[in-house]
Amino acid sequence: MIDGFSASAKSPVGKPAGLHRLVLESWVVGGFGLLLALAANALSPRGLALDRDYFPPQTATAPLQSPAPAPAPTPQPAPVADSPPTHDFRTVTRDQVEAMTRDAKFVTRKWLLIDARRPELHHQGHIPGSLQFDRFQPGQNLATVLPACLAAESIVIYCNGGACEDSHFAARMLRDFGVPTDRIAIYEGGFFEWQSNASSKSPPAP
Amino acid sequence: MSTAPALDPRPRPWSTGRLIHHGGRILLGAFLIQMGLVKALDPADFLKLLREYHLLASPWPLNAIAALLPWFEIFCGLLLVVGIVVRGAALIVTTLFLAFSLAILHRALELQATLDLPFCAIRFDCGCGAGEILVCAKLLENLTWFALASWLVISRHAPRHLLVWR
Repeated sequence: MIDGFSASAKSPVGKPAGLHRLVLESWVVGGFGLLLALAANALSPRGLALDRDYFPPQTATAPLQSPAPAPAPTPQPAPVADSPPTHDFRTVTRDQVEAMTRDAKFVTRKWLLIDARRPELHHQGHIPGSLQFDRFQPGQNLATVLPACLAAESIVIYCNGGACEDSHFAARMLRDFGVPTDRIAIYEGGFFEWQSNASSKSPPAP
Repeated sequence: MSTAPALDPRPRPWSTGRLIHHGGRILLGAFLIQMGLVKALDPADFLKLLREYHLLASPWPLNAIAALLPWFEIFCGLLLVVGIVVRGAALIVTTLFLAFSLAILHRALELQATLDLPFCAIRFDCGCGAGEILVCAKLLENLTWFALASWLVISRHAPRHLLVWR
């Protein structure tokens, strides 16, 4: 029998022995809970790596002055000069991304488009021809994305747009894996802008 | 030789108080399981929301909370629903709700200072598993759960043994 308290009609916490037992119980629950949580996180396909910095600080060596190859030959002003100095990477506009997707280099994967959103969102809809890369689960498609990025001349990364930072952090991760910084650009408008501006013009996602 | 009938000191197993106690622990447990599952299914989103609290600068504790807390909530919820170590689990849940509420209050005050809005008009996704919510409503909700969890700890209907059904 594992009685926690002696029989009494009063509140069991009022007794020092009961209080002691209560604290002990909570420690046992906490310990087991922590162990089970660690196991569940390790086994979950969406589990997080505890020791990884998912939000690395930007580097001081932002390549904003470097003459990076434009991903698309459009008459738009050069995005490099307009890029906010707070970011590590240059930015591109929707028109540039649209022109990029129509270019032959995009078909041959010399120019790459990377979707840094979660797989569920990618499956719901994405910019045609883009590869999915979830920075929280890089093991899932890094084997496909990294060689393609290393071989590409220019890479544009996007996420939802607005306050979304996943494209920036995905870019930093790819840079850490050896992709030259001057080949990477961010489409800051993201999928929301792409979808809202001219969804009717876009071909259906493959 | 006659013997006096022994008095059973245990409360009746299905008294009204006991039934309310059972209902309360099952309700709280189910709520914890639901909120935990929402976060456990997308810990990356939870991690992003936690980061916005600006309470932890180091990645390790931030990752640990985002990765482990949802499963921990589910575990405590299961204990409450099933009725094992109810008082120990309820004590931990009480502490959790207190910590959550303080964190939400901190974030809300931070947002209020930035947005210059009345406190109860502040609305944000607290990472609690229910999406965007008005801060006053959330704090009131947390206070209710905190009170229920505290009552489960101190109630005289709380089980005096590890298994509630004994």
